[in-house]
Amino acid sequence: MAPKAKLVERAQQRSRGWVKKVAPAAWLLAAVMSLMLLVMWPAIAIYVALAGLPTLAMALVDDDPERRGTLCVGALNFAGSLPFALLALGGTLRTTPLTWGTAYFYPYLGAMVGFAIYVAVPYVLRRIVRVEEERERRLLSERQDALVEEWGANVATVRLDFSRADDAR
Amino acid sequence: MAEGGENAPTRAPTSSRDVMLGERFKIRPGQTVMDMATPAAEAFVAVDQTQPDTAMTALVARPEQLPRVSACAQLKGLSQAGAAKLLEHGPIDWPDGTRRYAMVYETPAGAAILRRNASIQPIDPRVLVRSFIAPAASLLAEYVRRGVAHRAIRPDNVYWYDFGQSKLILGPCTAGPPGARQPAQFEPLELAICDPYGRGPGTAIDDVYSLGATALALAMGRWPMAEADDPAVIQRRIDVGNWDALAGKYNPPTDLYDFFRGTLADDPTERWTLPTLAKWLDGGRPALPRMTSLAKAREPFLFEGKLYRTGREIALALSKNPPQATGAIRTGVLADWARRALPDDIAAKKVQAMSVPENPAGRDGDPALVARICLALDPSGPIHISGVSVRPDGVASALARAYLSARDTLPAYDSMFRSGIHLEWVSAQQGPQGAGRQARRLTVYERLSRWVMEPIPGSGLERCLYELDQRLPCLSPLSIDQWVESPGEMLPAIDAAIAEGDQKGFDRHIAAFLAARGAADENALKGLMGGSADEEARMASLKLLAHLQETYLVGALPNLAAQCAVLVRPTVEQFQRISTKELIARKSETAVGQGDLQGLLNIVDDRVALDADKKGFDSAKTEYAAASERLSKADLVVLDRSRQATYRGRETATLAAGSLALATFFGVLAAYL
Repeated sequence: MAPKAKLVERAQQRSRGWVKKVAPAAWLLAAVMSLMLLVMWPAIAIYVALAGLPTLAMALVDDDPERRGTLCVGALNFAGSLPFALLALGGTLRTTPLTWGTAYFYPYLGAMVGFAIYVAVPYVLRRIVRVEEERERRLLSERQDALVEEWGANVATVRLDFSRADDAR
Repeated sequence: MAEGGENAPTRAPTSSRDVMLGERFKIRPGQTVMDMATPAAEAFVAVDQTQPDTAMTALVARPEQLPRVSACAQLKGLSQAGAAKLLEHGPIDWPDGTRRYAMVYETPAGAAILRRNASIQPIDPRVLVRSFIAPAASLLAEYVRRGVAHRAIRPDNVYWYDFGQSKLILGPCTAGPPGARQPAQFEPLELAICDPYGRGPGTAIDDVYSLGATALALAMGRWPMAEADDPAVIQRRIDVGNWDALAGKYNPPTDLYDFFRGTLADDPTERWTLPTLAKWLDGGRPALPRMTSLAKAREPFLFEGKLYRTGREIALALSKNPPQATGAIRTGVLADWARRALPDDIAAKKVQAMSVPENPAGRDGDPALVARICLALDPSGPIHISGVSVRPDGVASALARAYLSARDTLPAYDSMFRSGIHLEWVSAQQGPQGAGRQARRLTVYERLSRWVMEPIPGSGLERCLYELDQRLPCLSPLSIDQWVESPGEMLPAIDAAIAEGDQKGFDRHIAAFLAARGAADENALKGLMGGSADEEARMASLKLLAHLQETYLVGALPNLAAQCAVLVRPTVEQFQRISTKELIARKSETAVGQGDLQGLLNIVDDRVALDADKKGFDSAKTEYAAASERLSKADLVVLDRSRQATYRGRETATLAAGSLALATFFGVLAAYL
């Protein structure tokens, strides 16, 4: 395995360790806050729960070990609902967000943007990698053709070493 | 030259264009000179362009005849009374498309003075001494200083020098191998019993005998024993000695008695030498040879129905009948006779010892055993083996003759050298006629056996041939018509043969010739002869040819270069870079077009370029393999990088979403406060 890949793997492991350590406390904190919110401001709690449905859905389908999809969707989803919840708590709003469509529009829009970011950024990076790889392949093939042209077909009479192919795979 | 019009130029039915020898002599193939022609050489009218009025005769060696080139080199320009003057010699382009060797002599004023079966008025002894013996003796002394012997002194090779018939001169002696045309009457007995081409270069003492015998013929006015053939002459000389055999009932003049006795002595060690002859000519009274005759056996040896009494006779008889000789030796008949009757105890003991089956003398087979027995019986005679009788110093011309027209005798020479009998012969010689005259060639003799036995290109009997006679032309079928005497001349001959589509290729003669004259090594010759030659051998052969082309300043050799291009193709194939190969191919084509072997060699012998090419190819192979490996794992790499991109993307998305959430929170809050 290449050194760069090893570093990435090690970073991933470190990252997973941190998430695993913090996750129970975060869940506990979230549960306590949710319970307090539900007891003290049941309408706002229900609003936040309804506005956060996309995050819940994403959490159910997220295959990333570090739940980055959930984080992406959840951050923007929550960023859309939290101002309305805070405004309702502060009494600034003339109506309850539970029944106000606009209060749902922003969280859902945020969730959609978060999902789009989560899908698009890796896709773009993968495309860049593939283009680079194709270019490298083409250069290698052209170099091989040039070698054959310069030295004749005998230059290709070399046994290829596939012994490490399984390791790489 | 036309005494009685006998040797006047005669015009041939069809005239051919003149042939130039050098820039001075013009030879007219359409005008023959019958009196100077011999079985070895044709004679034609020649013209000296600086002296058009002087009569010249060109002796042109017949095909398959080998003149004495080294003697020509020594005698050219020798202006001495007593011999026809050799003015020029060298190979010429003959009208039939071959190259022949020509020798231009001043034409004598008359025909040969005395031919076999002819007779003349006996020459007065005083005239004979003044006009013939004295100039000839002086001439032979000059020959000795030049390191050659005449070896063609006989009555039909003696001419009047002038129309006034005041002087006699010896005719040409370079047209054929030394002594080859000498009848037995005019050749010392120990040489007369050799095969004509195996008599060797001889010495002044041999010339002194011939001079004596020829003078006897001139004094008698006829050939001695003119009606007898050579075997009969030899037998008679063995039986009664030289003088009695040749002179018969002739009573010599008193003035010449000592001369004939001194020059015709049976024992070569007793025969007059040139200083002794000079002393006699000055009026001195040199000591006369002792009257000796060959020791005769106490009882004759019966072999094949005839009785023999001397070792020489028996050696001759055994040599003529090898199978029967083997029987006489193996059954012990000869050994028993030798023990009982042979007066030479040493020879008798040798014959008895060698007749024992366990004796090492028989280890080399029957021909060698018979040869050893003959050598024991007649140590001063030639080597008799498998029907061949030669002296080791005459092997070169005899072997050349065998290759040209008597290939069935080649095994005899092979057997001689393999068994080392030529060395035993040298050891058996005694006195100035024996080991002394052979000692300087002993080193070469010692190598002959090795050359014959080595199974490598450039060895064999052919190598012996070219080492023994450094002026012998190459006898390969490829060049036999071109008179190739040096490696430099060999290359154009090969090139021409290739151009004519001659597929004879490099044969053993060419390999041996190049080994002897061009110092070619085994590897190079192996490459030239093709077969399973490896790359190193091919390179060595090209190096050799290029070296010869450069050393001998040979011109363009396009056909040979084309063949060498094929020769070096495997080397060129070692280069891997295609552009280099194409460059080399272009340079090679240029070198081939210019017939430049050195250029071709420079291209393929560039080790630095070859090493650089090899390193570059190895590097390219490594690079190609790395790229292949990288490509083969590309899918896995993409997967891995995508995974990383996803991870990084989600991290980034989280950060972005968090930041946006804060902004949204405060934005919404501000909007409603």
